[in-house]
Formats: sequence, C-alpha cells, structure tokens
Amino acid sequence: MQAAYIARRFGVFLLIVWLAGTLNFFLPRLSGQDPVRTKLLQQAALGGYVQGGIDEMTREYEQRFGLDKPLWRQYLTYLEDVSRLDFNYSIANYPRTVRELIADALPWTIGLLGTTTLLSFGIGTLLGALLAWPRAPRWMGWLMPPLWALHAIPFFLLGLILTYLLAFQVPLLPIFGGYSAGVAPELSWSFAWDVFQHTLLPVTALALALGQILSGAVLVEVIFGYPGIGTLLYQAIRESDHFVIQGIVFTVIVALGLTTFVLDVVYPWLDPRISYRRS
Amino acid sequence: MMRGALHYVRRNPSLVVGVALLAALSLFIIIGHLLVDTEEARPLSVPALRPPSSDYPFGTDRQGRDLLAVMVVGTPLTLRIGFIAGFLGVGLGTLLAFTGAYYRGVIDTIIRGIADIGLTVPGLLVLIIIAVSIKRALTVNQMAIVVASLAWLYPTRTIRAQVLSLRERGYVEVARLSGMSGPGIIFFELMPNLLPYLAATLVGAVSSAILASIGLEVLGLGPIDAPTLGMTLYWVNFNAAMINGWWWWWTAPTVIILMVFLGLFFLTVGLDEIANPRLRRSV
Repeated sequence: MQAAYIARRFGVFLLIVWLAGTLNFFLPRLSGQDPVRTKLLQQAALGGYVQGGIDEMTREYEQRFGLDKPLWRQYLTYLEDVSRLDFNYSIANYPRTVRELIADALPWTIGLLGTTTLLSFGIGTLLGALLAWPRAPRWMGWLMPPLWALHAIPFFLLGLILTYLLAFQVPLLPIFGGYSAGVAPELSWSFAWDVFQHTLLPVTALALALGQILSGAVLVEVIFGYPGIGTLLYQAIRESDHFVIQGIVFTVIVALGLTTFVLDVVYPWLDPRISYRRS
Repeated sequence: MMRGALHYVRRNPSLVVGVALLAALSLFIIIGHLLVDTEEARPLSVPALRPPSSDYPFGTDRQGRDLLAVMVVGTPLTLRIGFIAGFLGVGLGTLLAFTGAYYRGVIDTIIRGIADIGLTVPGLLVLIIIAVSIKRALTVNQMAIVVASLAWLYPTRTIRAQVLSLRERGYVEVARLSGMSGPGIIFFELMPNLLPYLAATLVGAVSSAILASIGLEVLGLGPIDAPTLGMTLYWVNFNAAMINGWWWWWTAPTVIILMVFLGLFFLTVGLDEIANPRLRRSV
C-alpha cells in the first residue's frame, strides 16, 4: 500500500516536470518566430550585450537544437537536455551557461526563504498560540483584524514601505543588495554578519506572507535588488534572455514539485492520523 | 427597514469597510476624470520630478507625467485587468466545476487533476513564460487574458467542492426524480443557491488577478505604454526612485494599491459572512 502511494505521488511529480518542460518548449514556438535568431540579430545590430562571436553561437545552437530536424525530434532532444538540467547558454552572458547562473543565484534565494520560513514559523506559532490562549490579555484580541488586513497586502508593497521606514527614516538596515558594496563574497564571520543584516529587511517583508511565498520572493528580491533567482529572472526579462527565463521557471517548478512530493511522502509518517491509504 | 440595515451593518463591519474603500476609489476616479486633464498622464507633458505642490498635488515623475493624472487614468486600467480576468476565471471555473461535480466520471477526474496539479505550480512563473512568449507589446486587454489563463484554477476547485456537497441535498434529489434535466438542475436548483458563494469567489479572483497583473508589470512584462498602477511601480523601480529620494513617485500608487486590496479583502470577508453563516461572529 505504501509503495503504491509513493509511486502515485512520484507519478504526479513526473507529470509536473514533464508539463513544465513541455510548456517551456511549445509556448515560445507558438508565436512563430525563432527567439534565438531574432535576439541574436537584434543584439548584433545594437552591438550590445553579446560579447562572444555570434557565428559561433548560432552554429552551436543549430547543432544543439538540430533546427533542420522535425519538431518531434527537437522536442525529444529538448526533453533529454532538460532532464540533465542543461538549459543551454545565456544569450546575454555568453559563454556562461544558464545552469551556472542559476547555481550562483540559488543559494541566496534558499537562504532568504530558509530564514523567512524559520522566522515566520517562530513568530506565527507564538502569535497564534497567544491569540488562542484563553487567558491572553484582552488587547490581543484586537490584533487579529489588523493581522488579517496585513495579510491582504501584496508583499512587495510591504517591502517597499518597510524599506522606506527601516532603511531610510530610521537607518537601521541596509537598503539594497545582498551584501555591502565593496565587500567581496568570502567565507568569514564578518561577511556572514553582513549578509545576515542584508537578509533581515527582505525577510521581514516575506515573513508576513506565507501563502504564495515563492512568487512573492521573486518580486521582493527585485524590489530589494537581492542577488537571488528573482533578480536574475528580472534581468533576464529585461535582456530578453529566453533561455535563462525558461531555465529558472523550469528549475523552480521542479524544485517545488520535489518539495511537495517529499512532503507528501513524509507527512503520513510525521502525522499518524493521515494514512497512506486512499480516503 | 433603516433600523434593520443599521443593525446588519453593525454585525458585518467588514462589508461596510470594503464597500466604503471601493466607493472612495470610484469617487476618486470619477471626480478625477471630471477635474483632471488626463492628457497629462502622457510622458513629457509636465515638468519632470516636481514634488507635490498646488499645481501637481501628487507630484510629477521623471518622464514628465502628472502623477495625479496617471492615477486617475491608471487605476481604472488596473481594475479593468482585474475584472476581466476575474470574470473570465470565475466563469470558466464555474462551468468546469458544475460539469465535473454534477456528472462525475472521467470528465470530473480530468478537471480535478488539472486544477490540483495547476495549483501546485507557482502561477506567476507560468504567467511569465506566457507573457514572454508573446512577441508584441501587450495591451491592457491582452494582459487581462494572460492573467485569466490561470485565474480559473482556484475557483474550479473550490466551487467544485461546494457543488459536491450541494448535489446530495434532498431538493436536488427531488428535482432529479421528477425528471428535471442535468442542465436544468444546474441552472435552476444549484446555481441560485451558490450565488452568494460565487460572488465571494469572484471578488477573491479579481483581487488575485490584480495581484498577478501587478507582479507581471513590476517585472517589466506589462503594457509598456499604459500608465497602470503596476507599470508606475515598474518605472519607480526602474529609475531607483527610492534611493534617489523621489518619495512622492511611489507614495501615490502604493496608497491606491493598498486601498484596492484592502477594499477587496474586506468585501470578500463581508460576502463570506453572508454566504457562509457558520462563520458569523468570527471577525
């Protein structure tokens, strides 16, 4: 019974991964044009972002995608690449690969979300318990409606307001970025402290909203210029770097799917009232 | 009658707060359209970067737009995206939910499966892929349709659950036994009983659609030449208005977005109390 349950959950996970990959492959193609070609030509005309040789890149793409082959072959090749987490080169940052860029940004986002989850869990549990406690002081009852209202406000907006209050009016916390300007990333206590201080402000904004934490994280990172996945995505959109955008979307969907899968499997074990059996 | 209304207002303060906030916004839009020159929402029409003054009560932005005019023009645009996407989402969601929950079987399994899986995926990211795939610059209406493409998932799931519990009621059974057709039961027996619930769902859907559209816009995927609230925030972020100390640029859109979300939120809570009497006395 357990094996069947886990297998079914895993099937759902695989389905999500497949859907994410398929969407990534077909949606840009529905609009007709070849985004790579257009983009490369556009940038060549501007003499802008592309530093490396365009011929080299085009040849690389044609080889990799097999653009002369039928669509279904391209699709299979794409699925194969993606299953190895190979999302091709970044158009704007050639010759860096999308995987490298994501690997650089991911620890920042995971750190941000980790701190957020711990803080919100701590504060939320404490507040929840206090609010439900029969002998809690009366004024605590008044906290509930404002908390609800706070929940209704988009987090990046709260972030904007908090930045202004905490970093501008009362200069307690750094306003921008993931670490101070002029500080190089290294493994030391002072750098860790610097990073921690930079995490606090985005975290306070995120910690207030648990529900769609991830979509929120993307926007909060953009508002704060925090060097995580969200900012990478924002830059990729500004530079029309399709491969980076697709790589991020796919990675995040798979990561979330995996988390859901692990939770689904672990949950009945943590909470015996939930059984593996179909209800 | 008057006494009854007053009494009800006291019991359901959320509804009053929500309606009041949204009414204030509507008044702002209507009076604004009468008094303010909406042409000044275009770039280069007024001096750039003036702090609030008697001439420009909300100040002006870096591209030379009067922010008061931008708000008067942009607020209804943002609301329009929300309403179009919300209506499409709840409409499609209701249709799918009723078909699935009433007829059950394979259709229901497919509908439920899609909704369940779709909801585990972060919607904003899928919307980003869709918006990026559209080559041309989006218009406000296209923006609404992009947002609507995912707006039906949540309504489908929640309405389906409601229909499932309703279809077991006695009066539905009676209607079925007396030979009423499936669509007849759906439209004349089930639908009227779910109206308050559908209204609450609609307000919630409008709110999430606005949130999604502002999210896309802040990322730079919105209608680039329309002065919606989200696009204003995009320009705020793009020009680093916060660090440069142009506080009035982001204050106006922030306050209006706050009013929109708080208004819709309290309206949902208020409607929920009507739709779901068991929730009473929880606020």
